Amino acid sequence: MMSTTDLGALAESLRSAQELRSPIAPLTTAHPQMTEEDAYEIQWMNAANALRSGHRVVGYKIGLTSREAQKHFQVFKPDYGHLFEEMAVGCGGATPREKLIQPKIEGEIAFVLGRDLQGPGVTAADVLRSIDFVVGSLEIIDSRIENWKIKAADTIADNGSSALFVLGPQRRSIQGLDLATIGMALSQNGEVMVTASGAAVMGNPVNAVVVLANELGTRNIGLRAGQVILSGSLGGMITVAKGDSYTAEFLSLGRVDVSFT
Amino acid sequence: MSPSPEVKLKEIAEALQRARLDKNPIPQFTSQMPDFSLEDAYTVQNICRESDIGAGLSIAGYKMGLTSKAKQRDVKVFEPISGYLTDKMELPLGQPMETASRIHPRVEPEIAVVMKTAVTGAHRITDLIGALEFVGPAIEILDSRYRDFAFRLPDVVADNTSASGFILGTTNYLNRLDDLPFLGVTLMKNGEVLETGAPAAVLGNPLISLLQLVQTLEKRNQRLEAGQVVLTGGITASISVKAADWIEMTMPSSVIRFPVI
Repeated sequence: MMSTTDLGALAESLRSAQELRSPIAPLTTAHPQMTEEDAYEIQWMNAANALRSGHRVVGYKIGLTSREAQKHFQVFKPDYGHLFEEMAVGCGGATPREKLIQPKIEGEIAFVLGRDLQGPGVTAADVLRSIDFVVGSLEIIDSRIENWKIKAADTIADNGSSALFVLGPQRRSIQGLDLATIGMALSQNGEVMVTASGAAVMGNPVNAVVVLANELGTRNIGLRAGQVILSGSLGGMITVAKGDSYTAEFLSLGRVDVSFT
Repeated sequence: MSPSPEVKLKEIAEALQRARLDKNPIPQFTSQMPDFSLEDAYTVQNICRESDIGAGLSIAGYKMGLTSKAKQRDVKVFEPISGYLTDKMELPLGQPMETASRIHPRVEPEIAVVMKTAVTGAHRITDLIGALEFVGPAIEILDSRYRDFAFRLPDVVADNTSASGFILGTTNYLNRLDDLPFLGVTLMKNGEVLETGAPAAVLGNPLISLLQLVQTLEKRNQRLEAGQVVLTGGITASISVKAADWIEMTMPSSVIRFPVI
């Protein structure tokens, strides 16, 4: 494990990269020995820092949930990042591209919890019982690391490369909803760029939430009623360009839109 | 003296027929004949089609290719390509798919349409709907007669767009066509999710692909007949299959599952 001083310095460098919108070299280049555990320490240092400055955690995002992503990073477990209140963008909203460094966008199935969920020992049945509603979402990811040259530890330290998220207006009860067969089409300026089904996320997005709840449980942190969970990318991501609009349209969950100015 | 163009195209058709019979893939023609055009390729496809009919096969329908906007941009051809299906290509649901008669088979998930009545003069999707009997899941079996599946657009058109077989599912989505683009598709091999997608990948809606076929046939003074099948285009990338694999394609309320022998 790296020293607290080193981890603190890396946390600080990510914060300043974000503030200046100026990406930095991969943390794993200078610290090839950095483990996932070290990386989570960095993420939690920055989360604690944000909480101290009055920011509020509204949920979590789950990443590395697809077979391709896991093979690419050689990490066979999803990762997570914190969602803060100010990351939420209203559906149909226009967002300044300049606020971001090198954004990409992806469609996801999101959950809002109706009751607390405390790991370890959380099962898929527990997750199903705790979901208040299911909603389509767009996640805008960004990297504070130059040219997205990330290894798993880099993205974990960098809050799962999270930036912004948009929830769709249509809320659906999970009752009778077969998440694995929900199809999604992600379009840029009206042209379909990516399609996927819910099964792309570990066979079923509920499986990703099970892992999240149990990972948080190892830190004695629980998921709370009202929190949002972005369950993982459906299919590929596309690069965000200024002036373009993006739509994810889902079976049963309707459409989610955002544009960049 | 070099042979006349007609003779040359006939030789290409014969070489392709022989490659299928001998299960011996051949090099692509475009590398030797840079002026081999898309029009020439359709002439070759027609020669093969007439020869198949002469050998007692009947035309079961058509298949569409190059139905993703991204692929169209890659090859700079902005309309789909088409091939024909014969009655011998249909594999009944639940039967094993055999590899002995094929060179290097691949499978991909598609939306298939079966016509209730013949159709001509369609300008919009709504003009087609009354003529449809079935709109549902299908597996297409592809088998290129070119070495390593290496070909350019005219090669693949001459090779009847790699058509080798198809399996129709039984779930009919005719009463939920509004949902069709967003019905999630999952393709598994030996229990592992390899590809996911949604029919929106096919020109935004597979019925647009069908409409384009109807219009193309009309230009050739042909028409879709009652009972004919149309495979509207691949929804995900194709996957290779070999003997002893189990293939499974799921969509809402539908599973197509078969062993490969």
